[in-house]
Amino acid sequence: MEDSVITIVAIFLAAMLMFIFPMMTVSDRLDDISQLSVQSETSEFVDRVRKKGSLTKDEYNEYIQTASLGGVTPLDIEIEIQILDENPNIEANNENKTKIGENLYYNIYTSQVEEKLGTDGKIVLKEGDIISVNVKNTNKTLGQILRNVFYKVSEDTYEIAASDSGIILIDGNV
Amino acid sequence: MKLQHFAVIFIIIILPISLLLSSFMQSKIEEVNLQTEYNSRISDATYDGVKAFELNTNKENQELSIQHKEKEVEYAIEIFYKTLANRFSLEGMDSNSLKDFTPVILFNLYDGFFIQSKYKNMENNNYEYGLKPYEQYSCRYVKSNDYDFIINYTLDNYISIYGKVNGEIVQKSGYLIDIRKIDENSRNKIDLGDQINELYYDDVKIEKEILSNYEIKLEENTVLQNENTYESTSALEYYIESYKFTKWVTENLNDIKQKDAIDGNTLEKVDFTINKTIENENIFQINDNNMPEDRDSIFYMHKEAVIRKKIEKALITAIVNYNQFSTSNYEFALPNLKETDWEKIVNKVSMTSFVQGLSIKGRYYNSYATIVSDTNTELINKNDLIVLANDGNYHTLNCKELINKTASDNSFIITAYSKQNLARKKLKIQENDSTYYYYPHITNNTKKNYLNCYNCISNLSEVYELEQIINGKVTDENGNILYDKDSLKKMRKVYFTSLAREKYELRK
Repeated sequence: MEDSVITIVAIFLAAMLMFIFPMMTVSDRLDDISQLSVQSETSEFVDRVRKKGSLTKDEYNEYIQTASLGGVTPLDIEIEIQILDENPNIEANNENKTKIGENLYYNIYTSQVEEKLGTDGKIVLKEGDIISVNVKNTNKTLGQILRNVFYKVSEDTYEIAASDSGIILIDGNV
Repeated sequence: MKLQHFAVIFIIIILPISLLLSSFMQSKIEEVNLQTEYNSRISDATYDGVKAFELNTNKENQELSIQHKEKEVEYAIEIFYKTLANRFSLEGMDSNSLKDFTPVILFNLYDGFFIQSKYKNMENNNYEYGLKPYEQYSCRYVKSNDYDFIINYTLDNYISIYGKVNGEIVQKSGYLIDIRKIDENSRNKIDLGDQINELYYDDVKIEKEILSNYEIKLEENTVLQNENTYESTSALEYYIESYKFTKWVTENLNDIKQKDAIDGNTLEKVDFTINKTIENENIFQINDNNMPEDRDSIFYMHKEAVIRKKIEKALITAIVNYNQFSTSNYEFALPNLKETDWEKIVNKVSMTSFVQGLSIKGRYYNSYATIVSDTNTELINKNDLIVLANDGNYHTLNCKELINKTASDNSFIITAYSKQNLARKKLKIQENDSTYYYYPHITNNTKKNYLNCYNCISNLSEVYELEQIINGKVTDENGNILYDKDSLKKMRKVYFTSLAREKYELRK
């Protein structure tokens, strides 16, 4: 009797050690790789927009494709473009000469960006505008599912997340 | 005991230990990763701040007042927080919450610096973030009863002196140059107050220049494309005025030493952090060890010590005060700035942001980022000069191809300008909503824009040392002379004339 209990425990431990743990480790590494790839793709995308001063439909679609590893990791991509109202240097009014304009920004968000790209095929930006991109995974990854089976620290929402942003360095309208 | 028992007991002991160890290692790795990640976020945000400052100030044509500069710096800092907040958005932090982690931000300009920190607004008793008044790189010197004056230094060889010198109240400013390099004949003429049309500086003839620029402008509702030619005497004026000023300084402040510097508030001798070895040297006496334009001259070393001391003191005070106002439990302290970063701060227009107190895996983050501004209207560096040549390319002064072609054909090199003067200009016409972009110089024969030289600007390999060209002797690795002062005559003329012109025309 004692033997069979210990055998069951041994089999259970062996199963854990030989299958579950390696699988958890591998899926964790997979998440790390996805994270790295998403982060580098996002940085590259943002940098390209900053240095070119424009965003085209093709570039946007290509970014979504490569960042989500061809759709393996479904991603929720949020783009926010803050457009500087021309001209940042215009003095606001004559009474207050020292004040240099209001530096007012108006924002356009993902849906508006996609709509504009759909109709015009291109968004042209200018020096001083700001672009920021935030990316999160939407579905739970294998790593998250396995981890939740064994321990649940808190309600974890996303595993893969990346963000990048920056000021536009050049007028895209050339 | 059976073998399985050993195995099970072994696993029961080893498993928790290995789990603990791996999670400990993992957290250490994450800590390092997070630290690197934060470093890059902060330097990216600081870069954006500097860029915003450049974008705004470079479009201005007139001199910027202190109030104007203050607004531009405020705007740069606003952009810094905007980018930082974007980068930290996944951690759920916005600009306001991030402000609590930036005890101080330093923005140093040509002749002084701004510090942003938290202060108590006496009007409403609230604690607010804002810029402290502009502080200049100044130092007070007292010697006997006849000398009690203040010198405002700048990032280059321009200084302003005011106070009691030789028993008289004076207020003077100008560039310090090595006046021994100006030919004796011209010196005598300037001393006598004669009008001169040319002079020799370091055997290079400085005279009136004929320059041209290209512009697109709107006049009476028509867009005009013009190429203007004009005469410039800025370079000549620079040497004449600098000679007069330097001569006055050497005659009146000849025996002023670093040890004569006192603190304006405590009236005690200033204890400089660096360059203590030059305590007893005469700062303004011009000799072979002290040529004011050289980076290793006594004047330059003393100036760096003054600027560094001034900034260090302001930063320490701001951070100590911040601890009193801060709501955080973290004790803010000035991190050790790397010597390389200090070098950037005391020599260039730059922005340094300090971020502290963010929690990273049980530890606190404490670091900073220094970003230098390369194209601004505040400072011209000798490395910032770009040469226009007859092949339709931009070159750096030390380009091998440029020197080679100039040696055989003097007319190959045209002239040089600062990077800022060559930047693309924009003309926006509101009425018909069109925008024109143009470069201020076009090539004479093809009327096209200049392009970057592949050998020097695009690819920094085909260059000599700039110092060798300035000194008039270019050698190869074995010490054989490739070009002497005679064959570099035109190059040196362009260098000395252009640098003087650009400095003279700088907005002060």
